[in-house]
Amino acid sequence: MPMITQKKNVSITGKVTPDDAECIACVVSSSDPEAFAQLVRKYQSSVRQFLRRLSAGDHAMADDLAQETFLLAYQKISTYKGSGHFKGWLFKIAYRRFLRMKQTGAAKYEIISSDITLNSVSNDAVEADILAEKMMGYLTVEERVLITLNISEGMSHSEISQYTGISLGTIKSSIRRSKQKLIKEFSTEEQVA
Amino acid sequence: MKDNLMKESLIKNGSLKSDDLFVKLLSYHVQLIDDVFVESVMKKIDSAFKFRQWVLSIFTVLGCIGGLIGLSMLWGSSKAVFESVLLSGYSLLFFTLIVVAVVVFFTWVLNEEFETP
Repeated sequence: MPMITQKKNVSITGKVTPDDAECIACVVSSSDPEAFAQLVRKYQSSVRQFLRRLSAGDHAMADDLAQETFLLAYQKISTYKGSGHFKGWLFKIAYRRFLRMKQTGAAKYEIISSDITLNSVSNDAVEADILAEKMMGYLTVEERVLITLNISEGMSHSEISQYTGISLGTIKSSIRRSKQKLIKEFSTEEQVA
Repeated sequence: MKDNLMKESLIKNGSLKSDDLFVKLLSYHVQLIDDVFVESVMKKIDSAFKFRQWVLSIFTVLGCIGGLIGLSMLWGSSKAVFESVLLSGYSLLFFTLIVVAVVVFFTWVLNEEFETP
């Protein structure tokens, strides 16, 4: 049974949490697999959901990329300086992995989905997530990552800029444009209905 | 929920309360907690680690073989030189220290690679 959660818009600020710091220290010092497994358990939902939004609902590809993200995080964990939140660092890796995959097969990720029907909205949390993922099909990859980090993850524009390397101005305009696109699609569907 | 979302999404009098709608629509509704995923990740890490061990081992062996071949090729033509140089006391001591230093160095370098994750 999927857990229905209403995620609050909590901004990711500050440094790594004490629990994370302990796990990271164990991994760095002694390559402790159980410590890293704890980090994977803690952040798997966020990373997988993030990649599902980026991939506009391709769960298999998203989960594959999520595994690669954690693998790379394990290999490069000694480079994590602790200056930002550990989850943000994971998102940075995930985003770059996704961009690399996009370069090899870019066309299929830019297809604008035209088969979304608002009539499919229901109270079921799983279907709500699927609808959100399909909505990403209307957006470019950059728009997807920015709107997901801003709205779904609750990151501020400056945090998004820190983790993606995209300038603040571009982030603001891109998020505004994304919202306009989605509003336009909602309005179009309403008129058709 | 469908009706509420539809109403909320309508453009009313030129204004739209889109931010709340977007938060409601784009929030993560399901927590993906999956032990199978965690196990898959740990297996991938283990496989990657073992692959690195194999690569390092193979190239270390190839390097040693190449070194021995080179030494054997030089030995024949420089046997007299080797005998006169190495058989002197200080040269032999120096050569032994070099060999020990190399062995220690490689042990230090490869020890981390052979630690089990």
